[in-house]
Amino acid sequence: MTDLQTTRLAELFERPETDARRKIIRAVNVKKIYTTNNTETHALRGATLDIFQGEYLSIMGPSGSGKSTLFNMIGGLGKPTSGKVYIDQVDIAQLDHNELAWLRCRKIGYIFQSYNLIQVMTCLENVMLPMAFAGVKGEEAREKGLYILKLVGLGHRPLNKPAELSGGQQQRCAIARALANSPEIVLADEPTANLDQKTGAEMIDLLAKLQKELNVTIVSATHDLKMLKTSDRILWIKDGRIDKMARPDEIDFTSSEFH
Amino acid sequence: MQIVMASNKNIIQNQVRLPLSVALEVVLQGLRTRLGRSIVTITGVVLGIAFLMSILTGQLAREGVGRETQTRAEISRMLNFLVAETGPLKDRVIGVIQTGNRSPLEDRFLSSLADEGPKEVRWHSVQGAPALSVSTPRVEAGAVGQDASAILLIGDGGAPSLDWNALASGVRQRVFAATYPLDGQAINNAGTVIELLRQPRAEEIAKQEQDDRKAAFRATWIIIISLGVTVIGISNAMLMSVTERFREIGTMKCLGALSGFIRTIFLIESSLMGAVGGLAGTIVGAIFSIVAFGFTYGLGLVLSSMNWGLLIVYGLASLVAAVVLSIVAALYPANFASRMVPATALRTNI
Repeated sequence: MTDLQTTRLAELFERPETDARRKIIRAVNVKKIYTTNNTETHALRGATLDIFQGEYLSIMGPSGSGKSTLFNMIGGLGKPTSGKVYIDQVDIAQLDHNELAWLRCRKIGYIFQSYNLIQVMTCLENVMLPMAFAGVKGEEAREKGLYILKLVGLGHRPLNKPAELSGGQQQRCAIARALANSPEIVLADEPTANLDQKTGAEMIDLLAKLQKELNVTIVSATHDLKMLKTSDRILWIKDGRIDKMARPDEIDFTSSEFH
Repeated sequence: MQIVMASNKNIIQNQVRLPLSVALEVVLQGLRTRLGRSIVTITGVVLGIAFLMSILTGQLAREGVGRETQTRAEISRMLNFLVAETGPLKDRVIGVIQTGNRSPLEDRFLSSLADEGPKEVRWHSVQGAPALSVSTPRVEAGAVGQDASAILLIGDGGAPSLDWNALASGVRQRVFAATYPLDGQAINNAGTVIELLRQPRAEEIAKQEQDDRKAAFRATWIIIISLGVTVIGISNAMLMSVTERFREIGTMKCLGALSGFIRTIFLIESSLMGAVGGLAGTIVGAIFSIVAFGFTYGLGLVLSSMNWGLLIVYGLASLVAAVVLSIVAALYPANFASRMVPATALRTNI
């Protein structure tokens, strides 16, 4: 990563202006009820949350706590049963499918726990796919894709299919794809869960670099101690409600909760 | 290189619509990479269409063979009628008087007659009709009956007005055989008159019509059943190939794909698969059926009696059915998936 020019990265993520206190994501009393076989599951029971531009927010919570649902709601991947989600002051419930596609394409980069790479495409093609959706084509997309793959440490295997890569390499590819359209927000669901310590640390450094230097907003669900320590705020979610919110320096990382 | 960012990020814009070439590229790559899976899906289409096509070809083969067998029986009966009167035709002379044009049946009768090994066939045409063959020159009316064992009256022009007695003067046997009804005292006085074509009786016609109706009903029924099998087979193959990719569709939506783009991908993919599978199925089905009927009736008979024009029409119809069915079967789940909320599509596990 050291041999790459930071200026190139800055160029990619160039922003017209930044406002540290701008609320880039706002969730207001978001509730989500899933109905399967006449049984109602209250995944979210009213979550209210502000995420500021350029912030690094970590979300903690056991499985089934509503963590993933909150993720999907603030990422515009699902519709809340009630409540509002604003991205950049825009109520996303008001957007038509076309505008939502634009939002998902340009504004937000998604990193999934299970990678969700397109299996029939090579690494580079996976990274170039969101660029194609954004209308970036040909040599420009290829050059940018190779640059980002190098950035995540996958520059040596751009033409391999996901199935030919290790879990860690697949996650690197997924991260590269999330960065393809230089998003303002990166939503990461357990991005380091399947990576070894060293690779995980590299990815955390990369996300931290994007956040610190280029003001990318990072929202991540994680149990990774290093990631929690790197973040600006940590949010606990429990039984579909926001349990508590704290800065890393307020937390005792030696407590049993983290081991 | 300069990356141009949207000048005002706060305004949500409309997503770009991708050209068809991008979708085609994605499809071809998918088909290439997922070759094994694609072949399984295409095989589903091939089987369905091959079944339909073999049923259709079988119908044609059965009809053709039936018609041919009937024609052969008719010709052999005509020949028997003639030989009963004249005796064996080997090394004999036969005179032919043609009025108007010959029917295919008359042509085939004449060629069967030639197979009996007569010494000579003399041919006289009353109204400039096409020649019998290159080796049979046209002779004058007076010469046609010379030494003849029989005089054949053929053509769709009806009985010529000739002096039958004069015609019969030089013949070996006074036999007149016609493929049309002859009446009139003159010809009956001149010699024995044989009517080669049998006029079917009314009850025979009625029975034939009833048999035809039964056969048509059975054929329609079998075709409907085989169409049903084809529809189910193709739908199953295409449905499976789309539903197992719900996650992929969800991922694409997360990355900014429009519903229309996803529909386009599946439209192209299913029509390609339908066309390839349909073509293979049509050929396989037709060949299978022809070979199977060939075992029963003899390949030569099946091939010579086949109505090739109608077979090609059936083949094209099967091909169209394959493409249309594939598209319809794939579009429904693809449409469904493309409208899915991405989170739901991503949760799908098949």
